[in-house]
Amino acid sequence: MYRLTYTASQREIGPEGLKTSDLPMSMPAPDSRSQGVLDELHTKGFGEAVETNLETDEQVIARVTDGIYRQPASAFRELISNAYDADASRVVIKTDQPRFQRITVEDDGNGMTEEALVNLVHHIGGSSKRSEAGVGLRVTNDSDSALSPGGRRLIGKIGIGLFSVSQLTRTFHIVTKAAGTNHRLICSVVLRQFDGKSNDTVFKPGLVQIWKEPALDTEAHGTTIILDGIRSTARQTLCSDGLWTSLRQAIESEENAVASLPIPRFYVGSTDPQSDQELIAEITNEPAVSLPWDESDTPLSAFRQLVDSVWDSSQRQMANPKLDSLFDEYLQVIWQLGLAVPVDYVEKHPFDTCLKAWSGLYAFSNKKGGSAQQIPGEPTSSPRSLLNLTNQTSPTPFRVLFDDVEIRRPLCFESLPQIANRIAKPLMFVGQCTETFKNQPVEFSGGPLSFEAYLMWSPKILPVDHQGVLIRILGASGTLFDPTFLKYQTSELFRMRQITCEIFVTDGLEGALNIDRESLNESHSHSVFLRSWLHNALRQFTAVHKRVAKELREDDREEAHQQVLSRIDEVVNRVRYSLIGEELDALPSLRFIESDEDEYDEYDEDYLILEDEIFPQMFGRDTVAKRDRLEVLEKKTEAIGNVIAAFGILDSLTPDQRNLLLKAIFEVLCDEEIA
Amino acid sequence: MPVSNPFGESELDSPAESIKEYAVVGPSAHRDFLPWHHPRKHFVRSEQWAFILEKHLQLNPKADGTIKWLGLPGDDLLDLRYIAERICEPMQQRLLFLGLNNSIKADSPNKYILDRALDQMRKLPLVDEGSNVIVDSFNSLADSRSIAYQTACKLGPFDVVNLDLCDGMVKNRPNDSQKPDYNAIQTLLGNQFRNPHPWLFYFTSLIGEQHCHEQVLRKFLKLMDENIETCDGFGAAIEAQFGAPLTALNDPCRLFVVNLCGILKWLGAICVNQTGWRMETMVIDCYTVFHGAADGSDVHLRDPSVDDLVSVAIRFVPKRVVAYDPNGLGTARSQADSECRIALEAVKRMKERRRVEDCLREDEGIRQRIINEKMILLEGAGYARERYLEKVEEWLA
Repeated sequence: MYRLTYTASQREIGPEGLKTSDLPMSMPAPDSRSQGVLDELHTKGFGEAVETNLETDEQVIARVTDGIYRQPASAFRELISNAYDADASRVVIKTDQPRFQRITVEDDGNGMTEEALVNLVHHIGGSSKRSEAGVGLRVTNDSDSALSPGGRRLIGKIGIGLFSVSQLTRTFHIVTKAAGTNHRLICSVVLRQFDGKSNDTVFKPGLVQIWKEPALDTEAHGTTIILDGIRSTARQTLCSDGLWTSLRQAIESEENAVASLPIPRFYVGSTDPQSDQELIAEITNEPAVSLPWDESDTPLSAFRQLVDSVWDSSQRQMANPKLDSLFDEYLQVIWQLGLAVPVDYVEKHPFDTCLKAWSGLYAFSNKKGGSAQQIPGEPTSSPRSLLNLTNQTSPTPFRVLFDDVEIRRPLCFESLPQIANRIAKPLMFVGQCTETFKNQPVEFSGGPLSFEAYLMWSPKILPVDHQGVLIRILGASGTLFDPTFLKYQTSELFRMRQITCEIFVTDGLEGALNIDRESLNESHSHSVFLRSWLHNALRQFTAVHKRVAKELREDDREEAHQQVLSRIDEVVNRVRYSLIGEELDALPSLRFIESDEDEYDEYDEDYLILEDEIFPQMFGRDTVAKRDRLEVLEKKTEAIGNVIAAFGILDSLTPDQRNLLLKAIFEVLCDEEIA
Repeated sequence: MPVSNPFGESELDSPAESIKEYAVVGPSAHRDFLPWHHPRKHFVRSEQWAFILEKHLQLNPKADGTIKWLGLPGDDLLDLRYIAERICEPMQQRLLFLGLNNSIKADSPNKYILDRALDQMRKLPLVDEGSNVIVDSFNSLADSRSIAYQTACKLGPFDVVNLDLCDGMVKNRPNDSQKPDYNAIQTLLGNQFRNPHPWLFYFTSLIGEQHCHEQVLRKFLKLMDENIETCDGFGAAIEAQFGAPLTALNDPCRLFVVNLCGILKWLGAICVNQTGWRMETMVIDCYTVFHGAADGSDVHLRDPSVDDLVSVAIRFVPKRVVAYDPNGLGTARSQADSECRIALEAVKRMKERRRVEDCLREDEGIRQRIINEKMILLEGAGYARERYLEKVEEWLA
């Protein structure tokens, strides 16, 4: 190495000097493209560059077959995304929970042709989507390779999506059928473990067999993926095996630790390790299975029950339930899929929810230092109708059933349970932004970025896991809720815990997704802009929230103050009524005038009191509280005077004596404040 | 002095995987025709299961338009596909099925047959998306903690339960915890008696000597004797139907009567004890499949007129149930079925049984229709027409 560096620096290697055969023995032979670059370099003189493209090490990409996700939900999410991209209207996932030995994911999408299937197994980690190749393989639209054949914006990466199943199994098979064909294609796959030792240029991560089976149902179409050799680790995760094993061990050893084990409120249980028939394990003092729904529920109502169970739990023993304290891993998978895939909301889309559900609707300004503007509207109008918002869950129907539970986005925006708070209903903020990055070349910016968003403030956001921001790209999300709001620096943590926010990206940001599609490259221009927009929005929200809260506090104070004044009036009226009945005006009462006021003869039936003599500036009126207090004292003085007057006692006094009396009463009442 | 290997050899569990070998499992090289591809099986499928279901639905239209079916389908799901095409499509009924099939293993080529068939079934527009075949045996229904039981409870009660058993329904010893077939049927019936509507129970069982446990046979004989003593007309009915008193019947015929009648009486007794249900034995089809014990001792071989496989269609009908008043102020009574009536009906239906092979042989029209239907079904399952027709010729020769 030293010698080579020396000779290079001495420019002793001529253009003809570096050949493949000169490379160390351990270095693999370059492929044809690399050899071409090397050959061209050899012909160049010093300072003459060879232009080429960066390329990937196939082994790195091939490692997607080795499992790049941490959670089983990720694999399901990717398969559902693939089904969506294949124009499916329905995905049905079936497991044999809590055994988890066999899982099928079936869609009614376009199915794959032989060419698409072969391309898929030969280009793991790559994707024929969003490429010209995809058109020929009938996985993308003829006119736009960013669209599915049916016109949906593509959300997945087929090469990564399919092999994400390696998270769950080493073996799976695909049954796929395209409409108009007289056969089904079956592709059987077994995956190997990446050992990190292979030096092969092309890593072969598995074995495949593909064959056709005749089909009479020529018009049928769709793809089914069958996972039948589920990895033990995936099975253990899906059935929360760690929890149940700990429980069994604690029971066997009669430890007191049983009571402290965090058994979730709802779970599918596990199979009994002692039973060779895979019976569902009994749990001491608990039902073997505990679900928020029952047999009578439809798939959709079962999901509603799941969502309702969160708020229900908050009104029972858990004040602020978290998903992992409420649900086992399996139910968490269902919940997370609801957040991740492009399905409808369990109720309405926030943009279609009526304004009456909230204390106010505000629109974020895209200006730096801008302010959110309140949007007036009829109680029955919606953000979409008022602001021309366009985001929808899916332009065409798309349903996902997971073990007969219809998955929806588990987010509600109206009729939330009442929480004691000055702001009784949530505050809803919406935003819409398109950034073209016109000051940057597209190679740096990654092209335009467009999105819409909502931010909902509510006294309580449940489950706790929904506090934060969730970013959807074309309706799908792998990131779940980020409670840091893309690292927003603030000391107002309590206020931040009252926010749930979704950003619907309709153009851009895909390039910022890391390969696992669960995190963003923070330095990507789109990530940077989105973070900046969000933080600007949060500042606007904070300003509005503080203002609304303050206004409500003032309203409350004013109302309380008026009630005090009103009660004092009632005392006087009661006395006067007892003396004279309905004709209250027949009795003279006090009337306060300024000492320099001239025209008061017409009121000579009343007792004229010089206000400025009785109510001197005894203490400041610089705060609202002090102002209110003084007003109450003045009112009380007046009330006492009127009570005395009602009994005719003031008739025997001269005006000066009356003023003196009132002043004395006032000073007695003010004694505490004066002190 | 260093301590000698204080760590010891690793004994911790490494992840146990269901796949033992790094090899991809491909399709079966050959797909032979199986016994249940015989036209006689399709006769039962068509002339009993589908026909009776059709009549049943005409009499008892489903308010929700969904037929719920529990069965033990083979890998190619022929029964389900036939019902979907023959009944569901013309009657515009949805089909929600639950199948139990424990032959699917991750390393078995058969899994492709089932998965392909399941894919085909579930793509039919009238098949409910909740339909599924689960990897469980029938007798796992016996335990309420089993996944099969839980699934059956979730989807049931069913309109049709079709226990197409490969073996004898009463072959196993009673109280055998390893093979709790009787408990499974008991549990299944318990689940089914939640049904507010009439439902159909089909069972297919071998009833030859080798397929009835001796303890069960003794029990059945005792039941028969009791019927002869206490049920007016039962002994006479047997004599009238079979030409001789039970004790005088020859072995194959006596075995047939005792075994089949015993099964029906056993089911009937469960029904009678389940207040508010009536059991109606509707049709019995039978044929011969068993070719004798290895030593040729099977009694059926001595009388070719007596078959060893029966397919029986039963209808359970809910009746009026009233609460029992122990103080007798209220005198209304639930409508309970009578074991004697059930036994008499069983004998009558046994006499009326159809010998499937005779039906196929004697009725050219029905034979051709059955073969054609079966050929189309098998073609949809990936078999060649010509090969099937050759096989049929061989079978019917």
